[in-house]
Amino acid sequence: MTRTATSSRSRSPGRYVVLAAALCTVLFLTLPLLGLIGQLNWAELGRVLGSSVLHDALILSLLVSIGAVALSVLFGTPLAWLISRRARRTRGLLRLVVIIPMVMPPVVSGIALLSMLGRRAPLGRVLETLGIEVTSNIAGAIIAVTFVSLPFYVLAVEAGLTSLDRRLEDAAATLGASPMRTLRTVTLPGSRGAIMAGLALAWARAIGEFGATMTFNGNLQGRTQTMPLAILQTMQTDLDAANVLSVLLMGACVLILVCLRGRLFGDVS
Amino acid sequence: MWPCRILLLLSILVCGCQRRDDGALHVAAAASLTDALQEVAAAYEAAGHGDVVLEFAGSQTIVTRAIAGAQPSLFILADEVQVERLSKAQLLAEHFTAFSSPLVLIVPRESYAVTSLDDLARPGVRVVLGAEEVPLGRYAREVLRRAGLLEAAQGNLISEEIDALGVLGKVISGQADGGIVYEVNAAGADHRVRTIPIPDAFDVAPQYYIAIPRSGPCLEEGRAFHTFLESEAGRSVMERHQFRFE
Repeated sequence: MTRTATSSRSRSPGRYVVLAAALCTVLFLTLPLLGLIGQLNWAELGRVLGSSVLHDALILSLLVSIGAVALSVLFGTPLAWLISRRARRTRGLLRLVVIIPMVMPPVVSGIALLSMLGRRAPLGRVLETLGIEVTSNIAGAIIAVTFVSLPFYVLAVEAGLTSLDRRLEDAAATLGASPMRTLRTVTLPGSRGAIMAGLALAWARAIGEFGATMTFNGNLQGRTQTMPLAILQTMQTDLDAANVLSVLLMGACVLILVCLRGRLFGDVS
Repeated sequence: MWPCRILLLLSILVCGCQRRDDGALHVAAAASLTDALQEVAAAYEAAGHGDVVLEFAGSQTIVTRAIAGAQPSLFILADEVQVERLSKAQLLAEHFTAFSSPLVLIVPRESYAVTSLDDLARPGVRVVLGAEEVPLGRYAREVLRRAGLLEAAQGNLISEEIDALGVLGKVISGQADGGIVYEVNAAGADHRVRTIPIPDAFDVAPQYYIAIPRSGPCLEEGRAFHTFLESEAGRSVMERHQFRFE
């Protein structure tokens, strides 16, 4: 039966072109990663696995990326909803505000954050007199990473909310549901796919971020050094160890995505 | 027979150094030399020695690229360890110590939390240094060790940077109260930081190294540039940029 289906479909030559292009894409994405794994110096693996650099940086990276995603959901979801419900012009303007941080080189984002929250910057100075430190610690890392990754979440969720059939919400309201109830039972479930995509995008961006983090927050093992920073610093003298760190970071991310797959991405169509 | 010889002669004339298609002298140098070497190269070209192509990067990066096959005619490196790497890879004909750039203490403008090296060890002061993995970080730690301040200053670290620009950035923005960079970096930052000299007793005067690769025609060109750099004309430019000759 499968064979019949295949043969009937394969008559179209366009199908081969699509398949070939898709295959190229898969190879393009996987071969460099396989190369990285192929270069692994296994003797280094044991040494790196036991090192405090890996331990400290991996934990900090997980905490920071989770913190950044949580902030993105908390503050990004309302913004995404607002954008999707505005008239065209306001929507365009708000979208621009979200997109600009995405196109800035991360190092520039770091400098921009310093100009607002740095120790000599207006807001940073106020916070410091209140005894609140938002740089050179985990809070600073979360701020830097959120600045860079939140836009990805907002854009994905906003796209989902915009494409949602508004008549469903109207129907719920007509049937007497309160706005909150409509949001909870119609709007959010209807954009579940977009929210999941936004979460994945923001988290992926968060875990790999280093430019803004380095510039805004610095790099100190055990306090502000996330995995990408640890890799950068290790790379200065020891390419083999840096390679092992990279593969371990990649492995940890794959593991997390696989574990969450059932819950997050399983039945989203 | 004749056409062959003419062709050969032509190819040598045109290519000069056979390794580069454009016939230019290719110098790979440590990033801290950018401004100074651009000036030296301009003077070298003006003196009729032919074109110079400059490539700037961290010494570590330059050597990694050379081992992977990049072929400059001359290296100027900020780190003896990297010269040894080149030498071990059998890429070098000869190498020399060239000049040095002293280290200085830098502090943010209008900030007086740090007024001397000793202050880096004071509790609550925020210190930024190069990472131990890069020469700047190693030299700075050696200075602090000689001054007996290493442990306390390391306890005050807020960040370890990959290069001098990173250290400068943290001090300019005021995130750190003090840091240690090469004098040339501080000079390049104009007046955005204040510079405090490090007492001679503690200064390690980091050396730069000129390394000439093993390669037929390039050897002579590399030597010519080296000679020019050490000549009166070359020295005066380098000294204006805070480099010191023995």
